Amino acid sequence: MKQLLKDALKEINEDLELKELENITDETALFDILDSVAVLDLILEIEDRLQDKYGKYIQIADDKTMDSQNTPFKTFASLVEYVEGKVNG
Amino acid sequence: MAKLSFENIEIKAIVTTTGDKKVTIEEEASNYGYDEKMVKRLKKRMGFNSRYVVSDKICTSDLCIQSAKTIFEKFNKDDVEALIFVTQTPDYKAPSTSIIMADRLGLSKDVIAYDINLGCSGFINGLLNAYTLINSGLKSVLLCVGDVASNFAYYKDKNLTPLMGDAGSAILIQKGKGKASFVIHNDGSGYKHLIIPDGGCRNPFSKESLVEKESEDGIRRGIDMYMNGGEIFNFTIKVVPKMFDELFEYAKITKENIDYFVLHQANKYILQNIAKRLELSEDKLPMSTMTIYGNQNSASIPGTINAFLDEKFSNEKLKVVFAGFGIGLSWGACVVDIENVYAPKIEQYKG
Repeated sequence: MKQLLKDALKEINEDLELKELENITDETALFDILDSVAVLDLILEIEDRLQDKYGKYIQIADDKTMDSQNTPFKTFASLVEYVEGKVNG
Repeated sequence: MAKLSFENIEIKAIVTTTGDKKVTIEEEASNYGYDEKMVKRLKKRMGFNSRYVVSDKICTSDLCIQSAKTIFEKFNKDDVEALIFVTQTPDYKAPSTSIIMADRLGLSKDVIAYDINLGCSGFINGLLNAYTLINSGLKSVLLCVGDVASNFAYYKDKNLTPLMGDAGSAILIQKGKGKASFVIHNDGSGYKHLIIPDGGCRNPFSKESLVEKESEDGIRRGIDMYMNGGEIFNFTIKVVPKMFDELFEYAKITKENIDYFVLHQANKYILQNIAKRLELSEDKLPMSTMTIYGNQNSASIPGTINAFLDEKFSNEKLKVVFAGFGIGLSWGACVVDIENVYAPKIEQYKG
């Protein structure tokens, strides 16, 4: 899952060209780095990649996505845990 | 959740008029402080491209009047017994614009006329009102919906203004053969997330209402619409998919029974989400209205019909789902039988 998410971030960073996304670690503070358009971009990229991998639509966005306090996009590690939960849930 | 069903009522005509001017995101980028790279991203991911807006002092009622006059070229206006106008941009704070519109259209002085203050869910709620009046015995109801968002979206507000288009639709509803089922929700606890704060009784208009204030989302004044994009996104993703499940269960339908899904056109992600969840192609769920015309508020559903489904609605027997969601917060959906509706191609305001 980590590689899938790193690939998704790499893809959206082709447009963004953000240095902070060049070396992603578990602590990378995604929600602070990405603007709302980029978060949406990332969601769509992840959903497309999950659909390719698992053959079904898995919704990544939920009512916490854009909640700065509780967003699963806070760090790379929290995103990995969240997406794994969606895939296994 | 309010749930209502109707029989023997039909939509007879749907006509939409857009603003008279087309503007592109490239032309307006400097208003928002967007560089070329940002414009490219917004076009690619958010679907921003162009929008139709009105010239100064053209009101929503003017757009709706043009739409209604097109309808009355085919239908007898003397049959109309009620005019409902759904808008957030009335001609005046008082009186109700619908009463003035009824006079401008030459309708009988006996018509029922009232305004409803709603935006994104306005078409669904307006249609529900029209069906209710027909169900109560009226012969023919003219529903007018729309907004001149140029009136409340400040030109420097990069969060809201590039989304918004101006349009006014007229819809004629009469007794007929069709069935319809509605589900309606509201949640006023989220009212602050999409609001024009000043100019009402709570925060009366003052000099302060005209002072520009800058935030992360852009620059606006107290008299302009404010949108908390993140909260609206969270709200939409929470309620809209669930609303489809509720409608399907209540109306005892499945997605296979539905020919078209025409949704409020504000958020490309939610449209794609619903399409993916229901495994629908864009043929069945149009999602290009905002890209060409802008978010037409309560006119976005009829606007989508007149822009992309005009021939289908004009010539075929269909079962269609409509869904609107946004300011209030308010959301609703309905499934409606459609047959040979008068639905000409969307037109620009001619003055």
